[in-house]
Formats: sequence, C-alpha cells, structure tokens
Amino acid sequence: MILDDYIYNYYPKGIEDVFSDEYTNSIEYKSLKKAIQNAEKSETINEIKEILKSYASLDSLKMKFLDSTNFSFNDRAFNFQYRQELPNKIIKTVCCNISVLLPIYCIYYIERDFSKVVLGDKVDTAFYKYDFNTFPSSFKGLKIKISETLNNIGLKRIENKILEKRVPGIGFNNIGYNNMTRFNCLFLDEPYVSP
Amino acid sequence: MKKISIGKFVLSIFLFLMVFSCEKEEALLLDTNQDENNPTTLVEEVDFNSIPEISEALEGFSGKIRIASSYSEKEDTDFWIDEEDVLKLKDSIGNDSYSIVIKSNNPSTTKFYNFVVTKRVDGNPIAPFVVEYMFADGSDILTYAEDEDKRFNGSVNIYSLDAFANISGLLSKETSGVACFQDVGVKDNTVAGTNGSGSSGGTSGGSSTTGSTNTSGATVSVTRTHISVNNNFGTSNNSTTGIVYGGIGTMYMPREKDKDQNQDQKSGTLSKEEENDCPEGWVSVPINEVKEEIEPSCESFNFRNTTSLWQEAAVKGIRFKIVLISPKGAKLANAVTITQPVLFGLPSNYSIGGNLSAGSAAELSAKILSITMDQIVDRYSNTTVTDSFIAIQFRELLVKNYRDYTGGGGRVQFNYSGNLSATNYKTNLFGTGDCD
Repeated sequence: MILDDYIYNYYPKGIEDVFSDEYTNSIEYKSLKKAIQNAEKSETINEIKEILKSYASLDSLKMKFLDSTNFSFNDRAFNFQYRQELPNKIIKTVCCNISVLLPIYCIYYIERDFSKVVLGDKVDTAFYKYDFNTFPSSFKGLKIKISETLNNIGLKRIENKILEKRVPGIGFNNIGYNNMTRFNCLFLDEPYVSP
Repeated sequence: MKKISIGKFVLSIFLFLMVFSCEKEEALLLDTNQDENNPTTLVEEVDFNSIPEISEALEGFSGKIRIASSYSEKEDTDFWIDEEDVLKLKDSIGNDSYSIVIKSNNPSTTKFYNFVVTKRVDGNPIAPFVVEYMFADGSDILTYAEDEDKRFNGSVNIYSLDAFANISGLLSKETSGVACFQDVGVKDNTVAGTNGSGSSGGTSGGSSTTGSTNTSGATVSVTRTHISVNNNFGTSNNSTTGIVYGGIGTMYMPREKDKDQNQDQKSGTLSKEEENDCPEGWVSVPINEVKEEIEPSCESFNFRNTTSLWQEAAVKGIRFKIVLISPKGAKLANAVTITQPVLFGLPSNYSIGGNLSAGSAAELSAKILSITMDQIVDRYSNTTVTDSFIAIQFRELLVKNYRDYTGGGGRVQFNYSGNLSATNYKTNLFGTGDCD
C-alpha cells in the first residue's frame, strides 16, 4: 500500500479523462512530467548505461544492447534491452527498466516471433504475449550481473510478481481508467521490444 | 481512408428544373417556403434494393452507357456507382428523390456527377437525369468537403441520360455543350463576401432568396451557384463539429425566358428538339458528394531522426468526419478534430526488415491513420454516441493500430508538447500520396 500511495503522487485520482485540462493541470501530472524531464536531462545514467552495455557479451550470449528509452512518449523509465536476434527472426529480449519515479528497477524476459511480421500488416494479439514471471535460466547470469550493478548504486529491484497488480482510481495515456498496473505506473505503458 | 466523415453528409438543395409557366413558379415558391421551415425534410441513406425505381432507371441508363453497379463488377467499363451509398430526400409534400454518385476510372477533383431518380406524388414522372457539379477556380472536391459552411462555388449542369452517355471524354473535356440545362445559376441574395446563410446562420438564406428571386429577380447580385445550408435539423453548439446533415439549400433554374436569353451567350445548349429526354418540372435533390477518396496525406508526416534508431513526426489538426445521430434523431456530420499535436514514432532501422526511410514512415503512418479513421466510421457512424466519445475511441484505436501495423514498433502520443515542430495535417484525394 505504501507503494501505491507513492504512485498517487504522480497520477491524479478520480479523473477519468486523462486528456482533460483537469488532468493535465493537476499537481500530480505536473510532478510526473517534471520527473520525466529531469530524467531526460540526466547524465549519470550514461555511466550506468555503459556498464550495463558491457554485459551484452557475457558468457557468449551474443546479445545486442539497445537503449529504447523514449521520454517523448512519456515513458516513466529508462528502457534497456539485451537482444538475441535469431536467424529465424525470433528475438529474445531481456528488458531492464529503471524507473524515473522511484529508485527501483525491474528485469523481465520477452520473446517475440517476427518471422510473420510485415510492415503495414496487422499482427495478432498473441504476438504481444508476455509473462513477467517467466525467465529463462540461460539468461540468469545476465540478470544477476545487472542486479548487482544497479543494487550497488542504491537501486532496488521490484519483484515481478507484483508488477501486474492494479492501482485503482487512476489512468494514463491510453491505459484505461482503473486499468493501471504498477508496471504501468512506474515504468511503461506496456513492455516494448524494438522490432 | 475509404470514406471520409463527411461521408454521409449531404445538403439538400432545391433544384428547379424547367420552370415554364407562372403556375409552376407559384408552386415552386410555395414548396420552397414549406421546406425552408419544415424540419421534417430529411436526407437519409437508403437501401438500393428497396427502391426498384432506381434499378429500373439504372437499367435504362445502362442501355445508353456502360455503367456497373459496383466497382467490383465494373470490368472494362469506365463508370460505376456505389449501391451502398444511395441518398434519399423526401420534400415537404412527399416527393422522393434519390442521388447516387457516378464514379469513373479517371476521377476529377473539380467536378462530380450524381445520377438522380425521382418519385412524385402528383404522378407526373420526371425523367431520371444526371447532375454535374463543376467547381470554379480555387475550389474543388477537397475544399468543398472540408468547408463546413458548404459554400459551393461553381456551376451545375443538368444532363439527360442520353446526353450524359454521349459525352466524349466526359471527365477531362468541356462537357457543357450537351447539357439540358447549363450553368444552373443560383441567384443568391447573400451578397458576395458575406456568409449569412452558412450553417451557423440558423436560417436558410437560400430558400428565402429563391422566393424573392423568382418573384422579383431584382435583388440578385450573385450569379454563381451557391448551395446554402439550413440548419433546421439541428447543429452542434461548436461550429467545428456542427454540420447539418440534410440541410436545405437552394439552386435556381432559369425560367424559360431567362434560359432563352442565356442561350445567346452560351454555345452548344441543346435545342428544344433535342431536349426530349431532359427532365421537366422542379424537384429537390440531395447532393451525394464524392467522398470516398479523401484520405490522410503522407505529407502530414515530417519524420525526423531523434536518435540513430528512432524517428518521430508531430502532426497537428488531425480530423475526420462521422455522421452521428443527435438525441433528437437528426443526423449530424460531426467533425472530429484532434487540435493538439500528435506525436508518431517509428524505428528508423528495423532489425527484422532494415532501414525505414522518413518517406516510407510517412506513407505507412498515413495508411494506418486512414485505416483507423475508416474503422471508427464503420463502427460508430449513424449511432447516438457523442463526438467526445468518438475522440476517445479514435485515440485508443490509433495507438493500438499504430503498434499493430508496425510490428509492435510504432508509438503514438497525444497532447504532445515537446520540441519537435508539428506539421499541419493534410488530406489527399485518391490515396495517401507518394512520399518515399
């Protein structure tokens, strides 16, 4: 509950129209935007990013490191990806999101099959399936290294099992009112994997 | 997008055909005034198959010109109609008229054609005919579609079916030479430069104008066709969202003596002997606009790389129209406008497909925007939902579609307030354009 109470500092309660003046003029929304703007200007993240980037070559994983952070779209987190792009166009991604609202981060795994993706054609809903609680053992070494680094600078990893708990009475962007999860509140509208 | 918002938007106009006698003039005035004040005159979409008179007329028409009943059936003919887009107007004394757009392989942006069939309560049939709406310089189908006041600047010509069928190079050459009635000038007492009869006016300047014009003819100062709008059927409080669906305008057909005078100045008008198939009498008709081909233009999107792997474009003024039903049952063509800039983002380098140029990104974005508008119109047109509800649904669907049609890579942000300069939303005729 303490976490949710903190979240309410950034999302006005009880305003369903998130594009209304009432919403965008709220103290909470202004606090959120300020936090995002501050993060956008942050230079210390670059040092952390360089360290994290070096782990992409750990244990012969042959992964690519990608910074998919995008504050233009009101992301609430730095979004770093370790990608393993297979010849069959399956992309295995270890995602590390560092929140800009709290000194916390999360690590999760997403695997997407891009073999049938054609730009301009609609993909199936199943394409986006993910499970915060599934993490392949082959990437656990990477996960440990990331955690060690981030813990050492004072960040705390939030457990994946609580990421999907909903926080009532708020909405944001196109996430419906009362549909905001803790992941949405603290990190992203949805897990994002660059195609 | 396949159908623009205005899509089901029509104006009804009074089209006076061949006023030969004083008796007819009187009847015309009476009926004009009735319709002006009669909020029960409605334009509505009807099922093509429920009106056998249309099919019969079309068969007769097809004997003169090869015209298909749909695009899919057109084969090698140059002309077809859309059976899904038939508009009906019932006037105040119960006469029905039906208008269908005649489409062609070589569409023009400066004119369009309606095939018109009527059903008369007096039992005196009027021959089916074709109305040509020809825009004057500076206006075209696109500007007319986007003009919420619906001020038509151009000429209107009436063709018999024979005359229409015999036109050579119909859509690319001068066609007025075989018209039954050429340049059917609307005499409008709204002085040029004023806008007294627009949708916000609340009264039908056009109708009252016609009355005074036909009786005196002295106050007329504008001879260009002017289709004015009557908002008897309700408007929105917001002028940007309030277009009357089924409003009444006026169009004036010269009386016989006027027509004779005009013939001295306009070459090629048919002689009386040649006018056998021309419509006679007066009739009100709904205007069925050419509307299917107006789509978001890829030129709306000016993508710029914000990182080595990411590009963004901000667009302001995105809009589309959709016909909704008001609480009182009136059909209103609502303009849904997203006034705040919308930010679009796409990878500039897809690991699954290589580089995505700014031009390709623009074309892809316009396509997705068009798809989204179509889906919203398909889902909600002719329903009683509010325009604010439509705006919410549009936002949600655009975000989803932009992701889904881009391999999960595309992102949309409404109410964008960042540093990227927003370009004005542009529309395009006949496709989303070529930007690559």
